Amino acid sequence: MFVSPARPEQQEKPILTNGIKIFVLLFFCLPFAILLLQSFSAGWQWPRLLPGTFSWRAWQSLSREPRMIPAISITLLIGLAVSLINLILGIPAGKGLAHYRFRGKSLVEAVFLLPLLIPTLAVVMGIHIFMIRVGLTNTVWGVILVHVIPTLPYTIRIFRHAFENLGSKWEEQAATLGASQLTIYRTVWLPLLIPSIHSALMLSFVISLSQYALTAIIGGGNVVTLAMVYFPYFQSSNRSVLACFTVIFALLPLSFYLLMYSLYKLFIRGPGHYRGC
Amino acid sequence: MLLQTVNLIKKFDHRVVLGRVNINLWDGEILSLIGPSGSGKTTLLKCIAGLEPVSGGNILVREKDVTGQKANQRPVVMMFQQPLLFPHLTVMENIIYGLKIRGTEKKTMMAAGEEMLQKIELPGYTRRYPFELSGGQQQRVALARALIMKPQILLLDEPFASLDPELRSSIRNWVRRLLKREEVAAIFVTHDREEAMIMGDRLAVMIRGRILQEGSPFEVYKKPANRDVAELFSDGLVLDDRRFVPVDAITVSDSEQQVNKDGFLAFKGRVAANWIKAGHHMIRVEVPELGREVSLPASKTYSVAEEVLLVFPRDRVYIFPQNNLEMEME
Repeated sequence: MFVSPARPEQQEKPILTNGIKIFVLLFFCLPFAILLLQSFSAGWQWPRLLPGTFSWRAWQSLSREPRMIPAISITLLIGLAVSLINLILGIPAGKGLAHYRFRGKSLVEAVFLLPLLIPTLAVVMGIHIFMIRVGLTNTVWGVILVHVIPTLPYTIRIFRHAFENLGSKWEEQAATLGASQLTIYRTVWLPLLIPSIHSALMLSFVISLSQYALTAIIGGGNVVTLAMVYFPYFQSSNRSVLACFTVIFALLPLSFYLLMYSLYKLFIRGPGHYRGC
Repeated sequence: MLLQTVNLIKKFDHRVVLGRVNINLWDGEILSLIGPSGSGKTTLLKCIAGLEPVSGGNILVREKDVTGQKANQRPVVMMFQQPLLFPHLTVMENIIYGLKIRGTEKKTMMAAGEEMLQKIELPGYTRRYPFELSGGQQQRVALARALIMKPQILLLDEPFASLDPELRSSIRNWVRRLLKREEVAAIFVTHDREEAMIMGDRLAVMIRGRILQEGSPFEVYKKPANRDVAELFSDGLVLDDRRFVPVDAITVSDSEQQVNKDGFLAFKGRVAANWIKAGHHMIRVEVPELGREVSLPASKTYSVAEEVLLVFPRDRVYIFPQNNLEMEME
């Protein structure tokens, strides 16, 4: 409930942070550093520890790729839209599952989870036919909608868990003080859910970012996201160009995170302490 | 009459939680509602506050039926066991939360907030956050947040349950004075006898979803309506479903002399515990014959496991006006 001074956490901190540090170094910083080095190398032969020569060549050749800027923009746009749709659908769904008892609840839960259990490609074959009928194929909207399929189950789970943890007591307290449902969402749930909103936005953005098959099928080659440009590069023999591309690809979620973080800092006042509740 | 519940029924699935509850509350009155945990006290408050839909019956506020009204439209504010201060808002923002929703002008709102902070003796806490406050302070802010709304009815659901005993006894006197000064009518739920007596002008005893007795705290204490009420609220020895001996009629004796006297009854007992309370030696005696225990003052110290006699005059045996069996049939 109310967050007491974080004493127990502080005691655990040294071990935890050291573990995290090693983990981050080994599995995040090191691979990324190698990628960066590779992107600037002009030949890196085994068994040399570092590249023999460095050059801008790979970056220059990538900057000549005309689809790059439009692809990044459309990817960001789709990612943003997918994340927002996830919030709009995921928050009420999560709340419904956490706080209400109704007939057929387990069925609804199972349906919400299905996209994770059934191969999305199988589902999309059917959806493709539907989208052709309603004229959503080859459009950005179609791609946005189809990206919601693999992301929404996660978002619903995140919010369900958050609402279960918060309980309905906050809502009751606000209601008895005169707040309507809408006001309760605005003044109580949204601020209390910020950590979960943060996770849900990040997760849906990253999942949307890495969709290739879904985008290809529904977008039909008309909607060219970064993944559509990126994946064919795997076949290229130039490892440095591929490394450049990968760096750019990795920077997208990172910049999205920074954007979210600054928005979060800008609009949410108050102590950081409550965020854990 | 300010508040009236008429044959209020609440069922969860098919389990009856409230069975035809009739409660009255008058202007400016504090009604203590006492009952063991799970007796439906909180559910009753939630129904009155509009946080739980009722399964039957009506809730009237000043003779107006509010049963169908939503919680945020009722002139009722409920305060819970936990302070539930919104952690992302400052103390002041918490206090004026309800006024802000009502659309009160900012100046008026801030002035009322400052006044409330004075009343709860926390001036200067305007910009603090709830986590910086102690449990008792949080509960006081929660009370301010409720009182600032000037509700016609305030519902308090064991608001001191999470506080330590010392703080609890000081804060309850303080809350009672504040409620009286603000002339707010309140229903105060508790499972603590002492608290119920101190807080309430009137008392209602709720057991298994029914109101078994209503009256002034002393009246209920001295004249319990039935066995359940006696066991919950009075001190003494319940002999059976019909009879009860108040503790002040019982003397503890270790000789058998008195028993032979006419007009006296005695039960053998064994001392289960002893302690001192308010300067008096107290013992807890198990009475195997009745399968019950009773706590009572003793004139001298007894050791645990010592055999004693509980002696009382026959004419002090009190006969319950209600029979439990009849209650169940009703």
